[in-house]
Amino acid sequence: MLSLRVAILATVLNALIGVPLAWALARRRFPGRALLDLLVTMPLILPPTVTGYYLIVLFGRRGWLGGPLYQMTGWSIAFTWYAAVVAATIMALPLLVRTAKAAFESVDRDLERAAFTLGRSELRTAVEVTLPLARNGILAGLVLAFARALGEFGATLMLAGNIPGKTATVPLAIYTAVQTGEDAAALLLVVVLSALSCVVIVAANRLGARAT
Amino acid sequence: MRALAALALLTAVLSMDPRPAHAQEVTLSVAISMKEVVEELGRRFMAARPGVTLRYNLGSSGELQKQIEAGAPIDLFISAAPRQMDELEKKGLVLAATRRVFARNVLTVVKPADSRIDLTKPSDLLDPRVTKIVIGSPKTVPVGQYAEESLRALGLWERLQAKLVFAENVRQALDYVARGEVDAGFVYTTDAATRAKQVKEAFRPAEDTYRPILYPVAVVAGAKHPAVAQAYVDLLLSRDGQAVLARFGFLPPPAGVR
Amino acid sequence: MSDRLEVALSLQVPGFDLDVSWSAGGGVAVLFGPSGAGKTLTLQCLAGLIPPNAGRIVVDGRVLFDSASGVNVPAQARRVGYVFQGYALFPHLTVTENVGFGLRDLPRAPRGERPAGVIAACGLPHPEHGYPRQLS
Repeated sequence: MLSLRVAILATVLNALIGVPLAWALARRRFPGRALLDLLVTMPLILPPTVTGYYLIVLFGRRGWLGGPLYQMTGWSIAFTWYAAVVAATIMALPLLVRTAKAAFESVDRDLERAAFTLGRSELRTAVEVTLPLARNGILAGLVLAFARALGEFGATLMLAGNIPGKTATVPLAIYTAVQTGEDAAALLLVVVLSALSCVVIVAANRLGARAT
Repeated sequence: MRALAALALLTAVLSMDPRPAHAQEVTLSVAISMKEVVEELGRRFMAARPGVTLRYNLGSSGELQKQIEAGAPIDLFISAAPRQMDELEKKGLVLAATRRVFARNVLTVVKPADSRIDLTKPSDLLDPRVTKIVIGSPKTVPVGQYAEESLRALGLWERLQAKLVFAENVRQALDYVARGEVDAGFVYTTDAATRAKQVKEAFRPAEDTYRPILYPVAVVAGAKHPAVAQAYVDLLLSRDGQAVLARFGFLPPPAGVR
Repeated sequence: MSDRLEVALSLQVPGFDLDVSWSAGGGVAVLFGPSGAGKTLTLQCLAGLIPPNAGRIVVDGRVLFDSASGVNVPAQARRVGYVFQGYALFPHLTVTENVGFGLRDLPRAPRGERPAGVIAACGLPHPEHGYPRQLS
């Protein structure tokens, strides 16, 4: 199912980008840190259509990133399922980063300092000490990000369009089904998505409770 | 405690309706291709009727139809195709006696103004340089329905499937073309005019490949202000109304059609 | 008795200025003072966890820090052992892994055996694969 593929891929991308980002925001000082924090949080606060607009500006055929790509390869990400992945990734990223950041911050710094005195470099300490201890919080964040990616609608609609069979994720399909009066189909999709979301939230709560 | 009281007061104040009690707010659900016409006529209408405020609910006809079916408090419905109005009439959701066709439109294919692909006839859409074509979502958007009809009649529908991108309404389709996100798009001639700098008409599919694009209007059953709504219908059909429509590129309704 | 430890440093943190200068010979040296005097800060400077603003730290003839010449040996390389107030045991590692955490330079085999010897020497009753939270 397209939605699952999109949501899983988006969550994987978020893990690869978001966990190191969260660590850097939690543990290191660098110029532009506050700005980075703000940028990462924005998709959470901005209306999805605004984020969708920015995504088009970036990735569209005439976009800052998409433009050169189109010039060189004649290919654009818009209206492909990759666009759905990009939209889902960006909309879910803040959830992961904020949760992971809190998890990292809750790790006792003395443990990291002890590792330093015992000879571990900063990077190895992050991997061998900080990361395992923040694991439950990070997993909870990933679960939340997955749920968010699964339910992503607004920005996806703008960048990927709503093309049945190609980019119509479950939320978009629900929208179309309601619009065309296919109430039975809409209800089925809604029930499936709700059930999946419930499972996800319960899992996140369980993991979060074990995070201490 | 004081903070709580302040919050309650703020909520109460914000919830108050600022409109004077005697004002009439009339809501029109309008197919988005009629946006500029309806706004212009609306200005004249409101100027002649102090105390009446018109609110425009714009979208694709299919979307607007669904809202009315769901009980939205609408006074007047303007559709870009008879089908949506027929469905509402069948369900008794519009006052059949008030239904009239007041305008006609023509389908056209546009391309981005700086496009270097030569598109002069429908079969040119098969050119490999044309990778994406936008049409309205055929299930719910009239311009998409007309586009599908035309492409099927031309024998191109199956072969162009892979290139098709669907938009939620005709203006979104237009926007995709204007931005260069797609290589061509099916819109109405009147829409192309609104973005004359960014899109260029490539060609118009023969009019016998699709059903006539007729705009019916009707007062919605259960409207709060049926008399005002009817007055607006009359304006659309009047000489002044028809003149404004012509100025924006719409064609007069065919004679003898309801 | 020669001085094994020479410390002279100053450090400004928000709300507190630390300025110390002392030396110690072999045996046990004790830093004492009321809470808030800067004892932990001084020790953290010694261990290389916080760089002083200025000063010089020499241990057994090794210059670990010297602001005048720009020397600042990272904590990882100072070979200074530090016992934290809260013990700082790694809760996610077994007792054996905890004890063996600093043995990064040894090849695989001794890394497994050395901790076992230490654990036995300390008389810890629990099996080596237990976790710190299981110890009393």
